[in-house]
Formats: sequence, C-alpha cells, structure tokens
Amino acid sequence: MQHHPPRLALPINCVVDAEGRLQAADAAVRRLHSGNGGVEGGVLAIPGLLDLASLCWRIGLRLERTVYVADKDHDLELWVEAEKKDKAIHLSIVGWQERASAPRAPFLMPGLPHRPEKRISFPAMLVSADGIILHASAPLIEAFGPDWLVAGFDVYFDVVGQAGGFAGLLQAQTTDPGRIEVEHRASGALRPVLVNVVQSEAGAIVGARLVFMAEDRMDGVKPVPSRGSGAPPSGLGLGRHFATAVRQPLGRILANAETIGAELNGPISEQYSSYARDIASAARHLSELVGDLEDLDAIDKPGFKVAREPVELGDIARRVIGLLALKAADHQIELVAPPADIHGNVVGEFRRALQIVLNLVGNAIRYAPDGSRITISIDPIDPSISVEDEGTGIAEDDRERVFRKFERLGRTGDGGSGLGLYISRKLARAMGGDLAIGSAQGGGARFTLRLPAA
Amino acid sequence: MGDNGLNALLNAATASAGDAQMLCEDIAQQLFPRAPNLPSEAVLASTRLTLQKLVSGIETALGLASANAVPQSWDILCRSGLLREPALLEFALARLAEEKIGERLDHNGTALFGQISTRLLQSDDAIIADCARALLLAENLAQLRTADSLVKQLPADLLHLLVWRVVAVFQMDRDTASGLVAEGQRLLCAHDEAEAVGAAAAKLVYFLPDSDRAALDDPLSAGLALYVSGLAQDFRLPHDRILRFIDEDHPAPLLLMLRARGHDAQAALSIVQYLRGRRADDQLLPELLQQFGELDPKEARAEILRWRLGASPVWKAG
Repeated sequence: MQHHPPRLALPINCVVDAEGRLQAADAAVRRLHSGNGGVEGGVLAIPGLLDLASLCWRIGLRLERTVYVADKDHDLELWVEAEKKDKAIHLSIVGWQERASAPRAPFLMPGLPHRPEKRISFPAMLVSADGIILHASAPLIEAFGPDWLVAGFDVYFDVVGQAGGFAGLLQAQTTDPGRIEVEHRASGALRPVLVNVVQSEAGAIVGARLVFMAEDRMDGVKPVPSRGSGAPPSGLGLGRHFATAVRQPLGRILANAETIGAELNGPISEQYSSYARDIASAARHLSELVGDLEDLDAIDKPGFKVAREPVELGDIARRVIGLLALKAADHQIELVAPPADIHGNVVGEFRRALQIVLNLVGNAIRYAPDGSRITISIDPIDPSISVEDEGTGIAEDDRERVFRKFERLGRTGDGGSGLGLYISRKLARAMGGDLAIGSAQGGGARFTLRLPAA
Repeated sequence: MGDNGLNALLNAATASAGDAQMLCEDIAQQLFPRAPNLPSEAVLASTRLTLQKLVSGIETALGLASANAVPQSWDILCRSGLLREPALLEFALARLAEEKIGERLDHNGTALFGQISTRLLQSDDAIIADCARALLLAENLAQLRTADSLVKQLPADLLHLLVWRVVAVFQMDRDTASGLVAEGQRLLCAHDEAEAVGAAAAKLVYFLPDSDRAALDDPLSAGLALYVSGLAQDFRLPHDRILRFIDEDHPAPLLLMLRARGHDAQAALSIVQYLRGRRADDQLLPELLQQFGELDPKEARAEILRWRLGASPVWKAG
C-alpha cells in the first residue's frame, strides 16, 4: 500500500455550489464521486469533502484539513484546502495517501453491551448462518414484540416460497441475491425483505442482514413482470432487460444503505447514519423511477392491453389504506376509508386499478399538509373512486398539465418523477375508464377514477 | 406606582419566572451528571477562566476592551446558554490539559519543543520546512498564553461561532453595536486556523517523510504537539481529544493507545511517566501494566475505534 510521498505534484481540484452540487471536478474526484453513486451535476457523494465544503460555505473562511474517504478496498487520507470564491466552494486536494481501511466495529453479539442511545430507524436484523437472531433494531422489536429475539429465525418467520428455511435462503441468496418475502408466523403478516449475505474475509457465509421494508415500498423492488422475447420495441426503447439490469444493483444499494443506516455492522456516527438514510432514500426514489419508466415503456407501446376482471373499488380503497397507513402516520395524516357497506363494482385489471389509487393517495400524502385528512370515497351509482386531500389544490389552468409526462408543476426534491399521473390516466383509459381532476370542498385536490360498471 | 416601580416589578417578576424555568435544567445537571468522574472545583474554575480569556480576546479584537477581568458579554453568554457548546468546552479542557502536560515537561527539565521540528526547519523540502516553521511559531505563540494567542488557537468554525455570539450580545445594546458586524468580519478574515498548534502539527505529520515517522512514537524527540498529532492521525481522533486522554485522571486511555501502537509494557511505562509525571492516580499503573501485555493490540485498536464513533457504554436519554 502506498504511504508516501502523499503530496501531489499538481493539486486535484473540484468546485461545489451552495447546495453541495458538484459543478466541476478533476478526474480523480469524479471517479470517487461516481464510485459512491454520485451523478453528474448532483450533490457531491464524498461525505468528508461535502462536509468540508458545507462548513466552508457556512463560515466563509479558508480551511485546510485532513479528510478521510473510503475508496474500494482501502481508505484515502487527503489533505484538502477549501475556500469560498465566486459563490462556490473550491476544494483543492494537495495530499493524497492510501491507508488500510479503518477496522470496522465487530458485529453486536449477545453479551456485548447494547448501545441504546443510538437511534436505529430501520426495521432490520442480523441473523447468524445457523439462523440465530443476533441483533434486531428497535422498530422490529416494536412491530413484533421482544419475545422472539431469543429464538431462531425459523421459529418465528417463514420465507415464502423457499424450502429449507433460513439455511436454504442463505444458500439461494449467494447465487441470486435480492428481495424475498417473509411471513411472520404468529400474525400471518407478509413483509418484503431485502437480504444482504455477510461473508467473512475468507469468503465463508457467516450470516445475513435482513431489512424489513414497509408494504408501500414493495413497488420499489417489485419483481419484474416477464415479457415475451418477441415483444415489439417499446416507445422508450429501454429494452426488456433494462429494468432487471438496473433494479438489481439498485436493490443492493438500497439494502446496503438501509443496513448501514441500521448500524448492524456496529455503531456509526449520526451524521454517517444520516448519509446512509439519504442514500437509501435516493435509491428508493430511483427504484420507483425505474418502475415508472418500465410502466411507461409498456403503456406507450402500441397494442398495450389490460386484463378485464371484476374489481370492487371498496376493496381497492381498504388495501391502499393498509399499504400507506404507516407512510401517512409519519405525517400525522388521517386516511379516511369509504363506509364498508358501499361498493363500487367495476371491470378492469385489479393490480392496475390498485396501482392508480396507490399513486393518487401516495401523491396526496406527499403534498398535503401534515396533520390533515385524506378521504377516499366511492360512488356506487356511477362507479368511481375519489381521493380528496386538504392541500392547496391545483389551479384550474394546471389541471390538465398534471397529466403530462414528466410534469412536476415546478416542484422538485419531493421524490416524485412526474410520471405517476400520466401513467395512471393512460392505465385508466386502457381499462375503458378515465382519471379526472377537480376541487375538493375545502379547496384541496380531488382525483376521480372512473371504470366501466360491472 | 410610578414608572420606575412598575419596571422594577416587571423586571423582578420576569427574572423570577425565568429562574423557575431554568432552575429545573440546572438542578437536573447537578443531580444527574453524566460523566462518572465529576469535575473538580479546580477544573471548573480553570475552564471558566479559559473561556473568559477567549471571550475577552474576542471583545478586544472587536474593539470592545474593558478594564474588567470578566468580559462584558460574559454574564449574558453564560445565562443564555450560548457557551454550552461541547466543542468549545473540549477546546477549553484541552488547553488546560496542554498547559498541565507542558508544565510537567518543563518541570522534568525536558523541552516542550521536539527535536524533529527544529531539525526539519533545515529540510530541503520547502513544504516540510514551512510546516516545521509554522509549528514552531504556533508553539511559541501559544506559550504566551495571552487572550489573543488563545483566540489564534481556535479552529475557524469555533471562532466563527464565538465571534457572532459575542456580537449578538452587544447588538442587544444599540449604543455599542455600531460597526460590530464589520469588525467581526474583519476578525474572521484575519484568522488563519493553520496558525494554531494542532493544525500546524497535523499538517507536518501528514507530510512528514517516512524516514522521520518513527520519531513520532517517541514524545521526547517528537515534542508534545507532534506526538499528539501522530496519535491523532493514527487513531483518527481529534488532536484535543488525545490531549485530554493523556491528561485524564486515569492512565488507562493513554495505555490503551500505546498498546494499540504495539508498545511493550516497559516502553509504555516510560511514555506514561514522561507525559503524566508521577501522579497519585497512577498508583494503579503496576497492576494495569501486568494486563497490558496480555491485551491484543488489535483489540485495543478496536476499542479506540468505538471512542471515535462516539459509542457510550451507558444508557443515555434526556
């Protein structure tokens, strides 16, 4: 490992704007940035450098400090000068040393002191190769109670569609990593779970990290629907392997970021935990975007068809509320379901109708004020389902615009792709119905999905 | 009741109401301290003195010097909680530790400045010679122990924080506030954190050639600042934290760092006694050194990693 000389003949430079976005960079910084998942023009994805740039921006003073950066199988110890010039931060790396990676904290094992002061925000667990649950985060204990912690994974959970219990799962995951579905035996609850197999330095499987995802995140990692090899080229021309190819690495990024955030490899500083959550959030957003693009790819294709099956809109409403209840609770938003005795019997494709209503309620949660109410109602006479929120509504002039592709009405940074409503209306029309927008009584937005009566 | 009487009543009522609110916080801190070893009166007094000196230095630099020993903004800064910054307190505690270690080294008849930095002044490598010069200048400045030299030891972010808090206190009084913001900006612009001992030593350690790195293991040849910076770089801990570990009541933190570096018990004992002198708390040394050799350096390093990550061995809430 190179140790000296650390000084560079020519400094490596980069420029970061007030928002932390990388405006310009020499090749070495670009490599580190993209290696960490950064995108061109995106926020600098090298935490130590970003911290220094943020501090320099905040105080406006010239700084020179050591910055540690993880790079592949080693760490970098950089000497960096930072200066605020022309409404940007100029970072100049004048020293560059490769160092062995800092030792990672050992796994938390039974008997080691627990560190309750660290807030672990992801429902995640660490399971040994022989199926013993070594550690579980607070949200999992809250969800399933504490008793199951003393037993093996197989006693309390069943891996759906996987023979051989946890041992079989480990074996399968080493060759085909990704998402699984787990059933909590006592409650029958099904949860999507991201699996990350942990191997020793010698390559032996020592266990796995499991991150339990909320139901509403399922579509971020949903299995790719199979397409016939003879499918005609799509409007977007993404190719049938696009989603598979992109979703798999995204799933790994998401799993890793969530397990880092859960601190299952040992405690990390709150700041890094926060970075991990940001990475997970970005990966989730990208994953959702891939899903949207995939749908777009399908529905823009000539001859796109949907199934015709009986669909009950009340059932759709209750499922959507079940899936998004946690997300709404995060914002103290109340989801109001239609009365159980009101039914809306229509014809369409069940999963597509569910997808549309999920999109409508998800949007309402995203844009309605915290503490407000979202009401889902059903008209049994002219069968339709409506979603009303108590937000600021959408101006009359903008109402048709929201259904355009990539239309965000000027909104940014909220995790939306601008494709959801476009796709939803296309799907509604493909089922012989329509998706319309209006005003709720309180001035909020009201979206109504109409489908042909059964 | 006249205006004066009414104002007196209002003031007294406001002060008492404030007391009732703040008292809970103060009592909680006294009843439920978090550190297992409570600070002595001497440590509290010295920390207060260091912070007062810092605030005085800033007030003087802002053109607000007063003849009083206690800075003008002190009372409001204390009561408002504007000085309750762990990083600021760590800075003050580290200066206290540095001073105590320095006095011991002087008392032992050993030079505070290391042989390496003096020799490196002659280095053919301009950056090394510059770094060595900057370190010696910083050490000389710090030796003055004036309010001004103390302010120069502040990292830029801490100075930024403190300057604007002092300015904010004076801005409450419009008569003295005029031009203060400009003075604050001038003070900040003139500050170069690279002139502080810790920063200068960190830079020299970073660029030190391999041929000189071995000397960093020996505090006598490295001098206090370079020795501490070597440890700081090795364990990726802040310079000030290492100073505090060295001066801790208990010698165990220093011993653990020495073990993590692979020292044997004899070398460790000599370093501990050199840096800490012969202290009453070090009666435990013989017993600790017996266990020293049995401790795997990797295990010691892993434990220090936990310190870096800020892991606490106790429940923490509130």
